[in-house]
Amino acid sequence: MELKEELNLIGKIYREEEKEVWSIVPYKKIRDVIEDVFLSRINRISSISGYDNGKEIEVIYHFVKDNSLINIKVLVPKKLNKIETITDLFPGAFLLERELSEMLGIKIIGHPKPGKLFLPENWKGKPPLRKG
Amino acid sequence: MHKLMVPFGPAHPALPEPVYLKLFLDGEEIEDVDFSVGYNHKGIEKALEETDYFKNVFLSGRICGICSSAHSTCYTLGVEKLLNIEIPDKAKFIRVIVSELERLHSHLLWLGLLGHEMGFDTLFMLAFREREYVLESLELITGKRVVHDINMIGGVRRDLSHEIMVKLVKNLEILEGKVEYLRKLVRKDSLIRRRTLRIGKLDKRDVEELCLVGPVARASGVLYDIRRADKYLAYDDLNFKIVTQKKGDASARTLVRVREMLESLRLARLAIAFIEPGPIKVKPFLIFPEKEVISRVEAPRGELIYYIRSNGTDKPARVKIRTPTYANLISLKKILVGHTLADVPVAVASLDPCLSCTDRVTIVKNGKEKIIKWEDLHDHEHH
Amino acid sequence: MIMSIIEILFIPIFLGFVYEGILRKVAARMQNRVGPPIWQPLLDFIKLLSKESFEVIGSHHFLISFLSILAVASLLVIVFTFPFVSLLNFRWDFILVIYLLVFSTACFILAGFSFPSPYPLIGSTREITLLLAYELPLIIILLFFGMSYYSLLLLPENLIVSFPLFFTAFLLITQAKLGYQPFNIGEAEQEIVAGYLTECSGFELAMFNLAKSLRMFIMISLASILFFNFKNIVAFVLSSLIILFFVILLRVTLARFRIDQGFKFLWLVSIPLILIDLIRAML
Repeated sequence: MELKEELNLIGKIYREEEKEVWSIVPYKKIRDVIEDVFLSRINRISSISGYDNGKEIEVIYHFVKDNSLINIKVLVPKKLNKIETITDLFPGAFLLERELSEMLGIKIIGHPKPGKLFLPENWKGKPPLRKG
Repeated sequence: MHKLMVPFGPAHPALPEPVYLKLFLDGEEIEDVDFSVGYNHKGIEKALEETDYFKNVFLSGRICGICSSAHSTCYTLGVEKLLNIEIPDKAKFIRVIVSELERLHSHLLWLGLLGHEMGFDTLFMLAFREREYVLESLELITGKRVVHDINMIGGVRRDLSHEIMVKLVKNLEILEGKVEYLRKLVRKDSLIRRRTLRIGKLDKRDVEELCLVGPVARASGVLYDIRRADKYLAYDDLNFKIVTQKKGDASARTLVRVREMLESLRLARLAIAFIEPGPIKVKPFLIFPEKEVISRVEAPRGELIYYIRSNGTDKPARVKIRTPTYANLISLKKILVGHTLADVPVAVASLDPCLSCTDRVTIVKNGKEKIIKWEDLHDHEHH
Repeated sequence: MIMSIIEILFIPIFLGFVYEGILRKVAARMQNRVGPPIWQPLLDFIKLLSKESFEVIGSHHFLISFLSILAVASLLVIVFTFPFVSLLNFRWDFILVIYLLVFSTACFILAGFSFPSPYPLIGSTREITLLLAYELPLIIILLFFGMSYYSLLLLPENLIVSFPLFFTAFLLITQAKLGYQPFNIGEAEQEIVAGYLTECSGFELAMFNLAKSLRMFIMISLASILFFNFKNIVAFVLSSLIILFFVILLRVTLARFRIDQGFKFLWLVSIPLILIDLIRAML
């Protein structure tokens, strides 16, 4: 797929299997990459995973195109703790971003309706899925 | 201008599970919808990080009572991908049979609920009566009716003897007649049609924009089924039809699910015929490489996707679950606005919401408004 | 004398419960279930009387209890006028019957409006809408019989033969008035919890349920009296049971109408049926 070459130019494909592509993209370029993904008419966003690896928060966007999965990872530095929304391009990310935000403590800039999803409104502790 | 806000839920006779829908009405017409979830939050994702991979098979099967095997199969497939294990063919077919029977029982339950929402409780009774055949069959195979626990890392837990297969085939034959009757009923009964036609319409563009999955998407013409896309387990060898409709309203979703039931029956019978004697599991290595995997299955409600991240230890570093109902909830506003209050139960039910699946992560709140953290829960456990 | 008054009061109440019990049992059997015993409604009533009534903030509890008693009382007055029951030689007054039937439904509706909760509000609104649909046909039929035969005692037997379409319309009206499928719109469980009865509990719920059972007895007996035969007790009971069976059949085999669909159906179906028979009678 042509997207493979495009992804390789901006980010780096670090793993490729029969029906999956895993690519890592620099933090500053993530918004451009998502826009390219949208323009190349990828079917849909399936999930957004977040993982605290100690040093930074890994945010992975899982897109689906026909039979293949395109996974785009970006490392969010803990000092910055924020990332831009993609709901203007993919409305289906609405709930996914809210969950990411409350569970891992990342602010989603530009989200149409930020706020807690599963946690109660008066939750004061640290985001539950942060380590340490 | 909103004249009245009617709360639908969290506890409501129409809802099998708690969700809080705020319906803003003008007279009987709905102008806006807002929703809150989280009433069934159990803390599973956190719990999965604190338990080893093998025990997690059982934990994942308890995320949802209706699609128990879908979760446990998806999780097990993910871990088997992680360990690079190939399970024996017989295990694949047994998993297929259990998955299809589960799809069948879930759709029958859904059909009963739909009837109940329309005030047609006779349909509810009928659907649940036929569902008994499915639950009996599942009990024959797995020993349990609802939470099957058939999976193990490396295969399945129980073998399928010849006598069981004979009984299964008989049950499936009986079921085919019953499901055919139900199909004729939903197609021809004028009251059912009146209550479901043109309700909750979603066209193909809405589905693609909102990234919806499952029978809801297929009822609007999107030809997508993970069993065909990923060909996981034994679906490569088994021939089946992806059922779609074009209208995208509640009646289309009903038809899709009923026809999917017939396809599931066919698949289950086909899988039984394919089974040859052989082992049902392989012994997995106990070394977990540092890796991340994705696994997907077609649960009864749509695409279920697991992201599993291992860090070399015997417990997963992260398990992220995105359930199909979670993906479809966002369509609530589009479905409900413009309809009347009387159509809300039918419209919401046509999505087949399974909120136990949706609210997975946990915070426990006891009656005194105290929030117990995960660490405190552990203390309680070790007393 | 006192014994007879007790008979008048309690036999219809008892029969009302029995009819409802039969409905629940037969409906269950038709759905492949066992169902409750026939005297279940009576047991429910007795148990509810012993329960506490929750005072809903913003509603007047006295008013609601009073409305529930009024609902029962107005229906009992109708029973008083039934010819085989009446010892007072009360002249059957069709207009009185029409009025009291509406009156008892109005008690339900008013009770629904007096709670500050959206569910009874919507339930009562729907019930009023439905009332506008089934009351007119009912009035036409009853007035026609009243003006043609003047007194109930002069009513000929087996009028169903001459007015089959009236009978059909009357069955639909009965189904709507009693609030069973496809017309159980005021109490649609799945949408508005319990409609106008949502916030009732204890004594007033017992009374309203009693009113519903009495209403069932009255409508079915009315159908029997008008269209069949009330002079022969066996024929009366038999025809009542047949009509009850039709009510049960509709209740079990049909889903529920939405309020606009129910309203349209009643107007577009029952009025023409009645007009046809009216025209035939004139000719």
